[in-house]
Amino acid sequence: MSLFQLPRKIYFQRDIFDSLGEILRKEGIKKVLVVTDEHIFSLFGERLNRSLQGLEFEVFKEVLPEPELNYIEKSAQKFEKKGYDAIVAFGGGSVIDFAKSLAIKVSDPGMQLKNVNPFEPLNLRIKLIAIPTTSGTGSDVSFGIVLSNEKTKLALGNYELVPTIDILDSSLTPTDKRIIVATGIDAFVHSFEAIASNNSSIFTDALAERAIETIYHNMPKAIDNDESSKDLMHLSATLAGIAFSNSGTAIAHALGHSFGSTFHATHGTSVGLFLIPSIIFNSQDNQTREKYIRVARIIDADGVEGLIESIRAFYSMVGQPHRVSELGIDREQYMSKIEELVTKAMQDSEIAFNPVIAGEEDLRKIFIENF
Amino acid sequence: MTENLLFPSEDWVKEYCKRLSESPDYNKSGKGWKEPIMFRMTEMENLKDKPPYNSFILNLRDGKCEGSEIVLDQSKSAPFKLTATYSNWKKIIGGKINPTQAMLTGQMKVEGNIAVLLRYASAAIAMVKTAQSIQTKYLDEP
Repeated sequence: MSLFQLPRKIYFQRDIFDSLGEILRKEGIKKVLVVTDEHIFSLFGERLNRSLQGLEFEVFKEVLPEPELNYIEKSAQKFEKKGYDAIVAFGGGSVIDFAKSLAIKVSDPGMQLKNVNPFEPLNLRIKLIAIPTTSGTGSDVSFGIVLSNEKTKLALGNYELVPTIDILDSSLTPTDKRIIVATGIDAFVHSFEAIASNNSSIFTDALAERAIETIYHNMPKAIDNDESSKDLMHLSATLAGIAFSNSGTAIAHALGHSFGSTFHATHGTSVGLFLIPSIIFNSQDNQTREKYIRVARIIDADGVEGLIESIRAFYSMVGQPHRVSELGIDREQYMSKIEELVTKAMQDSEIAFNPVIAGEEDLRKIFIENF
Repeated sequence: MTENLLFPSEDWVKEYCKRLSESPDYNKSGKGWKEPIMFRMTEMENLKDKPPYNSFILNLRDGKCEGSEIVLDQSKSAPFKLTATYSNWKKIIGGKINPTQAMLTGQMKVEGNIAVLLRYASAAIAMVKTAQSIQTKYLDEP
């Protein structure tokens, strides 16, 4: 039995956010909790209030970046008996992860979040609706949650956490070039990892290939805030999100997570640093190599080597670093952390989906060579 | 020519344990693992010549298999248990079902510390690849 899971509905159009109330009414939702953060609320609070006029709603805007497990458990108590029909997650990855966690706690206040796993049912009693405000994380369509717990990252997941409805409006996404690049690269890497994953399928391949093609051709204009390119980038991030959520990611994510948490680098930048080494490493598997060759054809490159050259040129064009040293990290400091980096990457669950089994030696070599 | 080994005969389990220790993929992906795993088969009732047991345990440690045991005592357990129907085990060993998908869709039930198990999911893949290297015959085959 293989499974491919995605939101039941995806509404998409620039400025569709202004029709949020209408969408919720159409979905039979009368009482809603909107989960967001102060920054997003300061930008779009008025539009939100205007759109939700006539509905019973409450806004929780105290989500902090990289939400802490204890904070969520405590915040959830306020909402347990309110009888909401739906939770709307309005924000980036942290907000969506927070909202997913709240949905679990509201449905079953006795459930310990750290016990959430992909194998046991959650029986959610509330609809989850996602409105992502960045084009990259894919958490609007994924079953995963990343929380902080006493300085460590806790990655949890369950298929029931895939939001029922996803609303895509690129007018809500940042105009800052650095954020567009980091989030766009995140989606780009999600797509490559979905294709490489040993759990990939024809469904995930199709979505990921289209996402790569669209991001590759549109990110250079999106960073200059070209509207139609940003619209396509936003949809592509969701395509990539559906793909990796169903396939799993692979070694670039395991390496990137480890690097990002050790050197406090942005997620997208970190995973982007390890995409090319992971393509080289995974090309030793014939089936994966064939898949990369197919991707190369899609972006008019010649074979795996041509694909790598095209990615290098693409990175240079959009301003994504190729190597760790470009982030200004001292060589000696980096090398002193190699064993820590290897240990963390080996413990990352995403490594399980890599098509070539990677051991400590393999990861050590990649970390060292990619300085 | 090597004779096909019957799954889950004692010979099959012993061969499996031996091959796991010899597998470079399992050696590296299972490094750090410390607990025995019980493999349990259900829905064997209607199979011809079914053995008087439905489980075996592999004593896995640091990417090696240090020994195996056929479980005759039904009350016996292990820190980790993987349970699937005989027919699904056959599909997993035959490469027709990805073990990760089997776990995610409940075709393979998992008991034990899930967080630890998830960290070693690549070892599970290596274990399946190793099982696939054994020339296997099944109880429901002539």
